[in-house]
Amino acid sequence: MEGAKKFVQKYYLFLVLLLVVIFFSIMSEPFRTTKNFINILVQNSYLVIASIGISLVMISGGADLSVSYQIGLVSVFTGIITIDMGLSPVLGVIVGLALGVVLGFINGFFTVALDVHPMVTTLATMTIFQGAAHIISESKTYFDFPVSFKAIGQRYVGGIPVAVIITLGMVIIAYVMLNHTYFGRYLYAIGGNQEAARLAGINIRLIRIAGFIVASLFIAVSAIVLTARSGTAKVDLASDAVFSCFTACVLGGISFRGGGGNILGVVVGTLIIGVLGNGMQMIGLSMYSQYIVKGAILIGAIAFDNYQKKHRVKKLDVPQTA
Amino acid sequence: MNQDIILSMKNITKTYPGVVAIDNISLDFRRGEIHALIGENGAGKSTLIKCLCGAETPDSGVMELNGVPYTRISPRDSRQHGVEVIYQEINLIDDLSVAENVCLGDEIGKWVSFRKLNAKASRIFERMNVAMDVKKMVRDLSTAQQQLVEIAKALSKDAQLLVLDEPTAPLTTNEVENLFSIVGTLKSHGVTMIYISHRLDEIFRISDRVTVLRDGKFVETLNTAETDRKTLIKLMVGRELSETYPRRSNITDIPVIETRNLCGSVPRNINIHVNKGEIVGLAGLVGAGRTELARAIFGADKITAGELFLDGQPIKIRSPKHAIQKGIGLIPEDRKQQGCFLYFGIDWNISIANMPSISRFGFIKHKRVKQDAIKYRDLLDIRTPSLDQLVVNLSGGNQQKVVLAKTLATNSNVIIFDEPTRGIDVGAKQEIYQLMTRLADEGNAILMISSDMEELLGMSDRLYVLCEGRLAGQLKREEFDQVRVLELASGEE
Repeated sequence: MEGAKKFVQKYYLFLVLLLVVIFFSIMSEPFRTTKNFINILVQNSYLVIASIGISLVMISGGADLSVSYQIGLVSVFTGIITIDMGLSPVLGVIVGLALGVVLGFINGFFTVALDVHPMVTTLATMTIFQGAAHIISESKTYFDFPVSFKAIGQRYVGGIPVAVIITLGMVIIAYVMLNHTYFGRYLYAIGGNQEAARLAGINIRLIRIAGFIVASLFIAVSAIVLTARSGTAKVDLASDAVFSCFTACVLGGISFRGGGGNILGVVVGTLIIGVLGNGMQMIGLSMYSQYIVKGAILIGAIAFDNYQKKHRVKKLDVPQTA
Repeated sequence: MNQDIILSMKNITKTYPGVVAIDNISLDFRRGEIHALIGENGAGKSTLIKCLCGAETPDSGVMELNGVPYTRISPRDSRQHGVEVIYQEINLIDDLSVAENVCLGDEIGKWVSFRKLNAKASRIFERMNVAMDVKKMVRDLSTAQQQLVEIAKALSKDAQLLVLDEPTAPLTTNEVENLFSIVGTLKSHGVTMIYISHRLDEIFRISDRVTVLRDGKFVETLNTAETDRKTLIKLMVGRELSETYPRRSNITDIPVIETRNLCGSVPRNINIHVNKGEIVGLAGLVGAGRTELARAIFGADKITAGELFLDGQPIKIRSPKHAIQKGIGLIPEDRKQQGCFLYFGIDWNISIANMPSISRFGFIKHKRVKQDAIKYRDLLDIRTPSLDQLVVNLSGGNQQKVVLAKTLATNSNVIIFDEPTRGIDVGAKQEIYQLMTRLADEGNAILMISSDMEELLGMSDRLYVLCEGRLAGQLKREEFDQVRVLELASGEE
C-alpha cells in the first residue's frame, strides 16, 4: 500500500498522461492511430520547446507573458528574410535566434532595472512585440517558404520527424543546463530564496537577465519550428501559446513561486495539454467547450501547486529534534 | 493588597521547536497601573504579549482577563476585553487620512460618513490632549505623529489594556516627552498600560511597577519607586558566566579587516578592526546597527562613506560575490530567510556559494559536491540520514550547521557570524563555539554578533559596543562586565 502510494506520488504526471491517452483511445477510433500520435508530437513540438523556455524563467521565480508575440515577431522576421529579401534560410534561422536573444535581453533588462514582477514587464513587452511585429510585417501573412526551410518542421530523418529531433535536442540541452551547470543551479537558487542567493555570492541581476535570454532563445527555436511546420509566418501564429505554456509548466510541476520543478515534468505537462487538445477535437468537442476545459485544467493545476505548498509549510511546523 | 486585577497570567508556558520561549510565568497586572516589562533580547517579552493578544497560543497556563479565564484566547476575544498592542513598526495605511486610519474597522452606520469619522477621530485626539489635523494623509506625518495615530487607533477601539512595545525607539527627545505626557493623560483616564522598553530611565520615569524576565522565566516584580537601575540590570543579566567557552591560543596583532569612519544605512563613522586569530564581539541593542555594519563589510548593503581595509590594503567591496572572492564570509542572522535554501538538499546548500571553484567550464563537478558535503558533515557533525535530505527537514541546530558549512566551503579567512546560535539547543551551541575557536586558531579573523550577552562575553577576545549606529566603546577582555556593556549599549554615560 505504502509502496503504491509512493509510486503514484512520484509518477502521477505520467499516470495522468496515460489516463488521458487511454480515455481518448476508447472514445475515438482515429485518435488511436500511430499516425495521429506522431501528429500530436509534431504539432506540439513547438509548445514543448517554448514551455521549457518559460519554465527556465519560472524556476528563477519569474514569468514571461510575452511568449506568444515573441514567437510572432521571430516568425515574421524569418518570413521577411527568406521571402521578402530572398536570402538564405540559414540566415533566416540565425537572425531569428539572434532576435530571440535581443527580446530576452529586453524582458530581463526591464524586469531587473525596474525591479518589478516580470508578469508586469512582460505584459508590457507582449504588447510592444505585438505592435512591432504588425508594423514590420505590415500585418502580412507569409506562405511561400523555401522547401529547405520548411524541412525543419515537415521532413523526416530515419523515420523520425525533424521537429521531434530538434525538440529532443532542446530537452537535453535544458536538462543538462539545469542539472549539470552552475547557471542552472543559480536559477533554482534565485527562485528558491533570492536574498539567500545574493548572500551566497550570486549576481542575481546578471543571472536573471541571462535566464530571460536563454528562455527567449528557446522561444525563438520554437517559433522557427512552428513557422516551418505550418509553412506560415504571421504575427498571430501562436497567440494562445502563453496560455498553453503556462498551463503546461504548472501542470508539469513548475511552481509559480519559483525554485521548483524539472524539465521532464514540463515535457509531460505539455504532452498532456497536446493530447487533450487533439483528443477533444477528435471526439468533436466545440472550440468553446475546449476553452472551458483548458481553463479548468489550469485552475486545477494551480490548486494542486498550492496544495503542495501548504503541505510543505505544514512540515515546517512540526517540532523537530536534533 | 486587594487590588483590582485586570489581567492575571498563571503558569503560562510557550515553546517553539527547540526553544522554551516563556517558561511557567505567573504575573498580575493591576487596573490603571503602568507596568513595565524588561529583559534582554530573547527574555520572552514579545512572546508573552503575543499570547496576551491571541497571536500565539500558550502550551499551558491560564490567563484571566477581567476575571474571565482563558486557556487560549482568540484575537477577537482579546480585543473585546480592550487589549490593544502598539508595535514597534508603524502599521498604518499611508494613503488614507488620519481619521480613516483611526476609525479603520469600526462601522459607523452603513455608509462612510466623513463628517462622523472626522468628528470621532478628533474627539479621541482631544482626549489624548493632542493637536492633530485628522484630514491629513498619514504619509505626510512624521514617525512620531504616526505613532500617535496608532495610539489613537487603539483608543478608538476602547482600549482598556494598552501594550506599548518599545514606543520610544524611533522618537527624538522632545517627542518622547510628548509621548510621556500622553501616557500620563491616558493613565488619568484609567487605561492600564504594559510598557516594554530597553531604556531604564524611561521605566523609572513613568512606570508604577516593573517586572524582569530572563531566559523566558519570571525573575521578579518590583515597585519602581523602591528599586534602582543597578538592581534592575543585575536582575536582567542575572547569571554568572559559566566557563564553558574555549580560549584562543593564537591571537596576533595583525589586523585582517579594518573599517575607517565607515558609514552605512545605520552605522555612523565606525572604526573597528579584527586581528588574525581573534574573535571580536559586536554588542548592542536591537537597531544599534550591528547587522547593518556586518552587511556593509560583506557588500550586501551600501557603504555610504568611509573606507574598508583588507590585509592593510584599501578595498571597495561591490557585492557579496566580490566579498566571497576576497575571502570574506557572512553567516546571516536569519537562517531561514537569508541563510539556507529550505527545499533543497544538504549537499546542494553546502555547494551553492562555492560553485565557481567546483565547476569546470560552467559544468558542476558532482563528485566535488559530494566530497565537500561529506567533509563538512563530518567536520560539523551534521546529523542526517542522507546528504540529499531537504534542509527543511532538519532541526534548527543542524540547519545552522549547513549554513556554516556553506560559508566555510568558500574558504573565507574573515568570517562574520551574525547571531550564530539563535534558536538552537545547548549542545549545538557548544559545537559552534568549538568551531569558531578552531577557525580563529587556524588564523582566521572572526567578527561575532550576538544578543546573548553571556555568549558574547564568553566567546569574544575583544568587544565593541554599538549604540544607535555609533561606536559607544571598546572593551578588552579584562574589562568585560555585563553591566558596563549594557550601560554603553543603552547610551548611559
